[in-house]
Amino acid sequence: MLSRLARTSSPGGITPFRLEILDAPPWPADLDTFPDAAPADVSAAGERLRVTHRRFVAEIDLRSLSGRVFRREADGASVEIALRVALAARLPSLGGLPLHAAGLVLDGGGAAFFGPSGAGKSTLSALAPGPVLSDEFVAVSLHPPSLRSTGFWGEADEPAPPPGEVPLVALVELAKGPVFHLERLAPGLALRRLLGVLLVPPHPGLWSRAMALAAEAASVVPVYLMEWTPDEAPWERLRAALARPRG
Amino acid sequence: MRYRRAPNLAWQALGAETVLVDLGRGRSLGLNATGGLVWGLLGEHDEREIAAEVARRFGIDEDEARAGVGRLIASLLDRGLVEEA
Repeated sequence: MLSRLARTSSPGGITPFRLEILDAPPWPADLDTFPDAAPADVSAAGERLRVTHRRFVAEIDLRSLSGRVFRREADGASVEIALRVALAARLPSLGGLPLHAAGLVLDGGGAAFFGPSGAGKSTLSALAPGPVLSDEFVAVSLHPPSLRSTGFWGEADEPAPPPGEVPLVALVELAKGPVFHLERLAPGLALRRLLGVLLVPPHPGLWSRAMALAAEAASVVPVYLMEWTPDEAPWERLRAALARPRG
Repeated sequence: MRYRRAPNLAWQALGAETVLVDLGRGRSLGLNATGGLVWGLLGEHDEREIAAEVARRFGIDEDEARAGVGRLIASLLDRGLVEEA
C-alpha cells in the first residue's frame, strides 16, 4: 500500500502529514460494540478528527498535521483508512476536492464517475478502455481543472501505475438504466449531487472550503447524469457527447 | 426575535440557490433566493429586520414577508438548523 501511495505525484512545497502507528491501547470502552464489517466512523471535535473502527482508533490533528493510529492488529487497513481521512481533510485547504469517484482517462482527458454503491464505478473502471486513476477516490483541482490520482483504490485491482494528473473534462453521475442516456445537469443540481460524494470529514471549516470548491467545479466543469448498462459499452457515445461543443 | 445558525453546519450559494449541509445529521437542504437571503441575514438581524429586507428586496408587502419569514424560520428551527439566540 505504501509503495502505491509513494508513486502518487504531489505538488512540491507542501508540509508532509506525520502519522504515528502504535500497536497499543488506548481503546475506547465501546469498541466491541462495532460490527466488524461496519465502516470507520469519523467525527470532529474542534481541530481534531477521530476515526473509530472495531480494530483501531485514529486521532488526526488538523493544526499540527499529525496523527496517531492505535491498532489492535498489525494490519495495513487501519493505516490506509487513517491516511485516507487525513488526505481528505487536507485537500480542501490545498484547493483540492476529494471525491468518492472513479477516475478514468479518455483520449487524454480525465472524467470522474460518481454515484452510490452499485451505480457501477468499479464495473466501469474494469471496462475502461484507457488508464484508470482510481476506482473510488480521486481528487479534483480547479486552477486549471484537473483530475488527480490519490493512490487509493477500492474493489478493483490496480491495473498499472496510473498517471498522476490529467485535465478534467467532465464529472459524471452514474445510474444504472436500460439504455445509455447522458444529460447535463444545471449547476445547482450538480452541486447538490457532488456534495453527496465529497469525502470530507464532518468539520464545518473543511466543509465550507470544500463546498466553495464544489460550487466552482459545478460552474466551470460540465456535470452529467449518465444512465448506462454494463451490457452496452458507453465509450463511443460518451466520447461523442464530451467532444460536442457546449453551449 | 433573534436567531442564530446552529453549529456543525456548512453552506454555499450557487446562483439563486443556497445549499445547507447539516454535518451532524448528514442531511442537506436547498433554499431558494428568498430563503438564501434570510439565511444570510440570520444572526446579524432579528426576524422583523429580516422581513423588512425581504419585502424591500422582492417588492412585496411587509406583512406578507413577515409571514413567509416566520414560516421559513419555523421550518429551520424544526430541522435543527437554527436556534433562538
